[in-house]
Amino acid sequence: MPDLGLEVLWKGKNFARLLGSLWVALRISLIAALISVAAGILLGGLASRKQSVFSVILRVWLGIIHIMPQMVLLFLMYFGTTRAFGWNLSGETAAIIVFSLWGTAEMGDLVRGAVSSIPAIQRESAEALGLRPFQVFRFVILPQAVRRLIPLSINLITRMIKTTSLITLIGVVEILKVAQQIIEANRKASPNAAFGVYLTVFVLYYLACRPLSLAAKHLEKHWG
Amino acid sequence: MSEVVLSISHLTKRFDQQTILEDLSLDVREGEVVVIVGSSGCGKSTLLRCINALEEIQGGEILLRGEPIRHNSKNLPEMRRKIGMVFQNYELFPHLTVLDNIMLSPVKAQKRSREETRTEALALLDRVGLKEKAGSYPRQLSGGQKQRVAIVRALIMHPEILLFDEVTAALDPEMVREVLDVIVSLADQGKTMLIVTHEMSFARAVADRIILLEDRRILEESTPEQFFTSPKTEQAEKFLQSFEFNRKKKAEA
Amino acid sequence: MDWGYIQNVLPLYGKAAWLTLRTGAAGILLAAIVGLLCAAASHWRVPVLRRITAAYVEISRNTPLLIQLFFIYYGLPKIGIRTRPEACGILGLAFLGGGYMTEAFRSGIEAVDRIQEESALSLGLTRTQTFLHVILPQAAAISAPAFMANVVFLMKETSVFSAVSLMDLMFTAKDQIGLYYRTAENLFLLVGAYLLILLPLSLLGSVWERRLRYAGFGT
Repeated sequence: MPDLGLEVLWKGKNFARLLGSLWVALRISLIAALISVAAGILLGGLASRKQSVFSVILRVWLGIIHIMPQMVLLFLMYFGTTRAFGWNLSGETAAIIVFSLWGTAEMGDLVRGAVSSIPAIQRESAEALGLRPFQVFRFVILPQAVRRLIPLSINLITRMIKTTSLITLIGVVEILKVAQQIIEANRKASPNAAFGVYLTVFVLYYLACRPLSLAAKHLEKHWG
Repeated sequence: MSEVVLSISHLTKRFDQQTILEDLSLDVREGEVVVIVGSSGCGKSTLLRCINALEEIQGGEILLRGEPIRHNSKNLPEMRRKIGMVFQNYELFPHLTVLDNIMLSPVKAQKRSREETRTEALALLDRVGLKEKAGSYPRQLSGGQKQRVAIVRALIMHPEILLFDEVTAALDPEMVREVLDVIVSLADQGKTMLIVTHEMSFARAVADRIILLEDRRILEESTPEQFFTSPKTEQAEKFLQSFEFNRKKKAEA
Repeated sequence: MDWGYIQNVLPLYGKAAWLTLRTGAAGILLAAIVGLLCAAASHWRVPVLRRITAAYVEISRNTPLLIQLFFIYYGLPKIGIRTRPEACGILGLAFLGGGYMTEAFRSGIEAVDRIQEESALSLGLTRTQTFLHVILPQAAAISAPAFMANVVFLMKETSVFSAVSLMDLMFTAKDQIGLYYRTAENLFLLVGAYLLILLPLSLLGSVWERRLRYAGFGT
């Protein structure tokens, strides 16, 4: 049985370090997701109104996010803002901002789609009861849209978690960097560490994402 | 007595726990037109699908000119080429022209030459009055035209027997006649056919034998005249009555 | 904006864009083939292959491309499988893309009415002939939008290839910025290059999708 380089995981705190660094990725995704959901609902709600300027803004914003690779967006945020505004963003901050912009655009689009799919008569009957537009949105439209939104939002978060792997390329110390450190440190002792460690990272990402995508599929089937 | 083309013996078909056909036996001879009638959902279509091995059977045997038709046998495609089946919803291939629809199987499956197939295809289309539609796509045709193309598609395979599964049921009334006319002309040419239909006057005109399929089995089998004028069984009478509207006028009461 | 600098460095970006395009295209093509084979295996209910296919789709879609690349490039050599950077990029993209393509093709195939298949089988066509001449053409039309969406997605994913030492667009930009500090010019070229590659693909996809919705495919 060839040396799979797995024993290095048991040494010292290596495995714990890996898990801890995965948490960096999850943390970024979580923060960005929360911001995206809040801002997305707001934007989507505004954009779903007839002939709203927000609808145009949303469309353009979404178009930019969709056409540019996330790597390029991260680059622009990390290097570009330094050049343009003199900001010195950390890799993590840049990632949170980019992911929030991405997530808001997608959530906004999802919300807009979900809200538009609710028949107009729902809004009209609520207004006939004397509720103001914002109340109508909050108490009548949104609760109905939420059912459709949740599986789609989970799908978005899953994709965010996968994309966090990119932040290693703008210098953030996350799981891939830690993996590289472990492999380097154990070069002599475990020459095949690269195989075992990267395999572990592979599996960890899978374990982070799979339950979420399963949950989303399940919810979609039962609520959709 | 002409030779038996299709022989069904003791056919049993079940879907999960439900028995659709039970111990059914039927022979169709060369040149015969056998029409199957019965109430909806009693297994007529299933019977045809079993003959073509589109459905698995749980008991009995189906022989085409003595050769068995079995669900997973290796020569099933070859056997199917000898059976021409026309479906209720025509099922033409939407991505192919009328001509390509007709030529697909002879060329690919029977390995006949394109030239010869093309000539015959156009001749057959001409006979059903659709020669100008050879280059059209199915979506450009009416229901009746599509069904006629479907019949040609089955005919060009030179099958031993033709199966028709409620082929006019999905058509608008004005188009039913043009399709039935084609089938009648096929009968005149001596083709062997097994037809499932609920067009009663058509059945009466075209059939050599009429079979009532009800309650998982064949309840009656007779000539058209006998079936329609003095049916042998009570169920047959009840079945025929469902086609007549008798409204007792108040004055007669 | 120093246009002189831009002119000088344009050939470098051109080379990098070409690399991105050709490795992306190769990876996408391979992914499509994998997807088609897996979708066919799934449709034909080949027992063992079906489970393997399902597992493969799950794994490839729930892990990031970067990890897959690292594993192939740094991990596999340890058990004797060595790949050059370009081959690694293509393989990684094919692995990731195959999962997405399988789903696109599978839903297309499933959308073709079962009775179309039965109609073809009734004419005596073999299962293979039925698949090639009747099911696949119709499934292809139905899968086209999803297929194009995958193409755009996969081409975007090529932006991580620099992680395995491929001198693609990201690498060139980073390198140039590091050397000459002309951030604005390089970012401009970077964005421009990707727009040039991705916009046409994206537009092609939307046009195709609209045409399909318009034409319908009625029986």
